[in-house]
Amino acid sequence: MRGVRLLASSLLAVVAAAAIACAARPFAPFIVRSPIFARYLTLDFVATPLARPFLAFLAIGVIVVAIWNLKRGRAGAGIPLACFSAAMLGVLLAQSIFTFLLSWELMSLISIAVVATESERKSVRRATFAYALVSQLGALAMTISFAMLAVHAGSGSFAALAAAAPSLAPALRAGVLAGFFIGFGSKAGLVPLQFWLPRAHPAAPANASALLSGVMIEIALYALALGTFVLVAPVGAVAGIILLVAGLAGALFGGLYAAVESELKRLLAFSSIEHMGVMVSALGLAIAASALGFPALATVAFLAMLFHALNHTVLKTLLFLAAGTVVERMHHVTDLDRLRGLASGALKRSAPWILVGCLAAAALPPSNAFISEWLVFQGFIGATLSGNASLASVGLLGLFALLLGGGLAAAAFVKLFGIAFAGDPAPAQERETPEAFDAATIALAVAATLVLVLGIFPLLALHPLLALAAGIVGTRASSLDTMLASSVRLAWLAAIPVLVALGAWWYGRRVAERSDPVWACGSVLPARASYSATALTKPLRRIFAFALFPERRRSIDAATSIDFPTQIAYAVKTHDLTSEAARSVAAFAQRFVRRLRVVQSGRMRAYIAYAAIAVALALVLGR
Amino acid sequence: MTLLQVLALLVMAPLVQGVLASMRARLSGRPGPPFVQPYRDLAKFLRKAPRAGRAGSSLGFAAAGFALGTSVTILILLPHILGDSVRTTVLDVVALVFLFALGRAAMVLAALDSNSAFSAMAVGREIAFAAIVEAPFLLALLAARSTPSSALLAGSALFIILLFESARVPVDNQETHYELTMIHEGMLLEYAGPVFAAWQYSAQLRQVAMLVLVAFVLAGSGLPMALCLVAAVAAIPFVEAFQAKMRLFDVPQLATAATLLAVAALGIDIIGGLR
Repeated sequence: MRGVRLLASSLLAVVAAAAIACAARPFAPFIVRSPIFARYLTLDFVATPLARPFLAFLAIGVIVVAIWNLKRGRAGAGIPLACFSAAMLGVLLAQSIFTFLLSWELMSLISIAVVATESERKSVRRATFAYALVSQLGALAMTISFAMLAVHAGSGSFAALAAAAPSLAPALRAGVLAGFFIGFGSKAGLVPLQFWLPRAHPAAPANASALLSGVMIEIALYALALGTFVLVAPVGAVAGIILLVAGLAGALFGGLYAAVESELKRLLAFSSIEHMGVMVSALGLAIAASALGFPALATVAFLAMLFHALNHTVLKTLLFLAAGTVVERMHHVTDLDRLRGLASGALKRSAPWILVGCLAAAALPPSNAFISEWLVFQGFIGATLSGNASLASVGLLGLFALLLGGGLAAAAFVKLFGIAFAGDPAPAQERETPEAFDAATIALAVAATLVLVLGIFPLLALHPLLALAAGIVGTRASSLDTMLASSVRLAWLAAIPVLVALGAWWYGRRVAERSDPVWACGSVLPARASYSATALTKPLRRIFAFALFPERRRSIDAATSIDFPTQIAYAVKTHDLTSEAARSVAAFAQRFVRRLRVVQSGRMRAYIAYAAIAVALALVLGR
Repeated sequence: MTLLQVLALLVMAPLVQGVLASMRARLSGRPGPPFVQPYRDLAKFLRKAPRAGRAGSSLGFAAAGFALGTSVTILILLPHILGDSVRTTVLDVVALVFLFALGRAAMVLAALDSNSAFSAMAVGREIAFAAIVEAPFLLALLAARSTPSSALLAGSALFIILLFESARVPVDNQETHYELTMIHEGMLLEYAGPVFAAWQYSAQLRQVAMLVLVAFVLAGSGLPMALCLVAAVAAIPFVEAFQAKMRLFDVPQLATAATLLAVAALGIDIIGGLR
């Protein structure tokens, strides 16, 4: 068992090392030419400037997962994860359409298999099906786009596509971009193609969820940036604004549903949609600003997107692995309504690191995500003040949506930590063995340390990222350097609070503490009467009833008397429109496909006729 | 200059609270407490034995200290009241809004750590309202730049947010201790002694900070800003004395109003700045 763990983790470490090696130093293109159709079917790998930060993010996520895997998770789970990471590495290095699609499909298929790990559960099977469907439809859309680009450029290599991009006809460019938005956006969890994500990401085991939510959606972000800034450049302002609005919708959607969600891993998945929305809106702003002639603004937005992607990788890997630790320590209970007091009970060692992760996910100082959200806000404030009508209006819209979504996400993580980790542990937790400081805890500690280091010394990452962003989108204006200098000061905002808190903590340890029962109108409440996450978010469900469609089911088992029921069951459900829409589209598609089934008659003669017709058509049309 | 103002605000914060309580009482026909009552209360809390949430956890203490620290940091970031050329000083509004959120997060975690269902009930309301006033807060602060009309709109938006932030009447009522309706007091139900004093003092500091921000948005700097500060302090008791507390789920409408005012203010600024 130990050997398998060690092997899996070292495989992951090898992938991470390869990613770091590719990110650190440029290497000559690695090309494998196929004997036929060499123009299109060529394997072509090289680390471009755009891919290099994402290679580093991949490496960070994979290393943290590898450490955690030494102790927790299924022993063999690391091996498919290593293949998954290698496929993601392939996507980042791919420099031709064939290589890219091959790696992308490998990444998708392995991740679908990984999501299906616990396929004995019905919810997992349904999630896998939804994911596979969206993933393959997205792949179809992006394949069509790539085919159009290849025909236009007459070659399959990205360099040729980029060189031919300026001469694309507007209609063709729009069509290609639509395919990219559907293909890459569905993987990134962009609204309205996000409905699979909160099902599939939590359905996988925790270490796989960490890579799906912490790394794979960043790969999708890379693909969006690649499509818009390299393959189809220059992209017009309209496409940028469409992307921006889709990102804002994601930030609102993710924040709102994370705030009212009571299942730990689903909450984290919704938060991924929120963070992805922030990044995609920054990308959209970068596109729109550079198309409208504001290169400095575009650079800020692009830099903010890159830094937020790094921060999201770190924080989401941390939180999903923490969820994995909760799953193992609490025997598969991940319902926040049933978790309480983990910080003084079953997860005593991990809790401080998880608090740091929650702080980061809520984008509060002194975490790294605070700095990157601050940069995103600087971008949007710059847009409102730019003096350009369309930029200013999307800037205003963006500030509003990001603040509302961010406020809701903060509520979600305060709820997560406050309900599940704070307070007195349930009596059952007392019987558990105390948590040891093992590899799983070290993995969380490493990620949390990274959160704080990047939060307090943001320039460590911002300087190299700025050089890249300036190279890709715009200019390195002097205003950017003053902005970065003030981002350093931000980190120290939390200095006074932390110092005062340490003093208060020391004082608290020193003074004698009484243990009085809490005030409950004179009675003493049992532990199971503690407040639940569902109850905590009741006001939010009520305020946002117009979007959440909350539905309450209560069944009272009245036995003998209605006044003294023996049992009360209570359930709350919220709906989201995109899932309902997806469900009805799927139902319609199934009905349609059932009709088409007539062509599959099962008679050999019919199939021979189809083949003959196909050949005839090919001859006529391909003439 | 900054140091002087921070010290003055640190000293004055309880006095403002006392003035507000006393004026409200007089307007509703009661003699009310003296202006200095909050100082006496804080001194009394400091003498009592500390009680911070549940036994064996220092989280309550640390969170109280943390929240107090955020309030002090907020005071440091505030614009100068009597200095000149305030509009050109770098006021990082984004950092300010996030600091308010950080202090609130510490308080909410402390309330949830105390195991009290009443505190948790208050937390539910607090996080819901906090989430919906965050957007108008930043938008109103951003609009604090140009024309008198946008300044007025942004100032009104910020005044509404002040009512949220300092638990004032249409949103919350500081004079009752009825567990089922209160928000701010409800979260601190399990706290007593010096820790409670820290929570109360930090809330008073946030209140003063909000008042300074309202005055800043309305007038910018110097004597007009100081006058606006006095006017804002005077306006609160009138609202409290002549307005009934709103039904809990009508309160979001107030936040919507603040959002509309802030968006309108920033919209005017944007249209004015178009090239």
